Amino acid sequence: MKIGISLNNIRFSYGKNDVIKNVDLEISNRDIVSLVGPNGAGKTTLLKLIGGLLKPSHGRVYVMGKQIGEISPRSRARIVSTVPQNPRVPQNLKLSEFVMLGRNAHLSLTQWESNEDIQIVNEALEVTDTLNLKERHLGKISGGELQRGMLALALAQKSPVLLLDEPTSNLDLSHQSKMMSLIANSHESRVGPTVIGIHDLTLAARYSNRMILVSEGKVFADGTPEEVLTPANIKEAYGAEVAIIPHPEGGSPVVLPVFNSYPQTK
Amino acid sequence: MSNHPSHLGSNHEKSWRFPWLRISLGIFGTIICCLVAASIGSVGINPNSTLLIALSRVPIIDISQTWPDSWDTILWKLRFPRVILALIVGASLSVSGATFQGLFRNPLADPYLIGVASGASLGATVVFLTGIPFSYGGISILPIASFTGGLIAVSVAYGIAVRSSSTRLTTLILAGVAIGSFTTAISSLLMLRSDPDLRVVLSWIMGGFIKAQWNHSLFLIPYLLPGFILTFAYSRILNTMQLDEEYASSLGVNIERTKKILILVATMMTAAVVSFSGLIGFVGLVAPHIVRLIWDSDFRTLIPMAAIVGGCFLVIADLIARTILSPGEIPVGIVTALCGAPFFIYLLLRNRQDTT
Repeated sequence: MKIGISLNNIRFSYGKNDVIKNVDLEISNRDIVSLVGPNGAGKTTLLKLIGGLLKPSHGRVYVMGKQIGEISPRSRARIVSTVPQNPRVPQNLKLSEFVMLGRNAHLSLTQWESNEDIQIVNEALEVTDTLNLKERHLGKISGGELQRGMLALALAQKSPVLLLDEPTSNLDLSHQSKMMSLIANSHESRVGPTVIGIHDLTLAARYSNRMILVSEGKVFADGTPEEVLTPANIKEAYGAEVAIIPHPEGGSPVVLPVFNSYPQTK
Repeated sequence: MSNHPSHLGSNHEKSWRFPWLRISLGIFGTIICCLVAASIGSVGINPNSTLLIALSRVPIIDISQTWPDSWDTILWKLRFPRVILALIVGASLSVSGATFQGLFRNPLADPYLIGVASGASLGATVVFLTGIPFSYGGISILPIASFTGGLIAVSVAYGIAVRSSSTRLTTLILAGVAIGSFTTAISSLLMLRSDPDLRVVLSWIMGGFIKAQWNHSLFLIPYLLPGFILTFAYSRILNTMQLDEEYASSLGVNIERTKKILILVATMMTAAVVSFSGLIGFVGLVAPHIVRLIWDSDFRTLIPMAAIVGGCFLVIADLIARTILSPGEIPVGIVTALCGAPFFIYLLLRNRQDTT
């Protein structure tokens, strides 16, 4: 098993706030990792550190053998593609133009998009089921369509590692599982790992083979979804009482809130 | 593969090719615009003759003279240099305007916003009022002084923005506005404290092409041509920078380097033209928006077409400035402001609709 991502004793702070405290992680190339944890646990920061968008205050982050925060943005973009959470996108941009921006790291200053780039963009639109939207402006498509467009952009980037921050937030039930299966499919076509920051534990458990639970800037639990999702871990990390049952299809853990743990108002 | 529903009204399929057709049509339109503008004036010359007189100086073409000598003099000594200078200045202001709008992701940005123009005008005012010779050993001091002024103003604004770390763009724009007011105040102070004859500097500040000469245009070309080419080369990266900065960075854009290079280039272009034409407002704001309304916001169309539209806009504005109160002239800045300010307000109102 080749190691695609490795974090050695990472610390990161915004001013005096330690957001990430001594994280050590190794993620293999075949892993689809779901990064879970309560709000403010440091999921987004951890993804940005892996993506090289933030530099650790201490320690080193290696992605596909490169120290990711120290290489040029262009080389970095050829190694990692990131799907950010709620980015600002220009409303008057066509979806095809937006997805083409994923080819930026492969084009030099004077180079224009070739037929090959157009081909790659069309394929990315095709596999994310957005080809019929390619001439639409970003302001005129739904949240779920934009999420898939952002995935298409990341796929057009053709980098081995894919990082996603809350790809299913703001999506309705059917779009959530559609998005997750698109991500899982794309994992098969890349050589590197996939890391998904996600809130929905049940969805995460269904689509990932490894789950990392972060709490207060530390790795609280790490293993298969079955190992990580225990009532005790969740009680400790989230402060919530839950029951966990196997999914009727496939048996992945399903997290259910326990209703009598909160005082009822009548 | 255009299976998109037609009700979108969303024109043709995106082309990723060099916009030859648009640019050729634009250049053709520009030539006509310049010939017509050169034909109109206190002495009317018909456009056909203007074309022939223009071609008669082209080395290979042999045209026998069928026009009075005075026409040749009027055109080659007065009107052609003036039209060409207006064209170059309009094109440069528009390209820097489009660049600043792209860099700051702000549709209301223009070369004046971050203090470039007022810094440049302070540099020029110092030269005017301290009696430093305008040229020294064949090198003209005025553009160098205004370039230095513009660059200092931008550097200070940029330095403030970098120091304040958070939301740099907003800080940069606000710092630019403050620096702009500050340098304008110093220019005014200098003017009050100096020689009573301020007409020279005042008419310069109002902006205009009354004293246009061929060597002004020749002087500007080495500043502007590399600027145009570099900005055009960066147009794909400018497209990418329309996403937020972190997103653009994750797509491989070196944000800080791009900002430094493009701010420097746009400052250079603005400062160079300000040194000959004075402060001419609104061209850099209006031209890129006209291009967006007619064609699209892809910077690879926007940069060349803004140059063409801005150039023609200023040629026409200058034509109005020199003919409307003939035989007198009004500063061209008045014309551009009269057209530009209502347009600016229209944009403000339209922007409001977009966000609600």
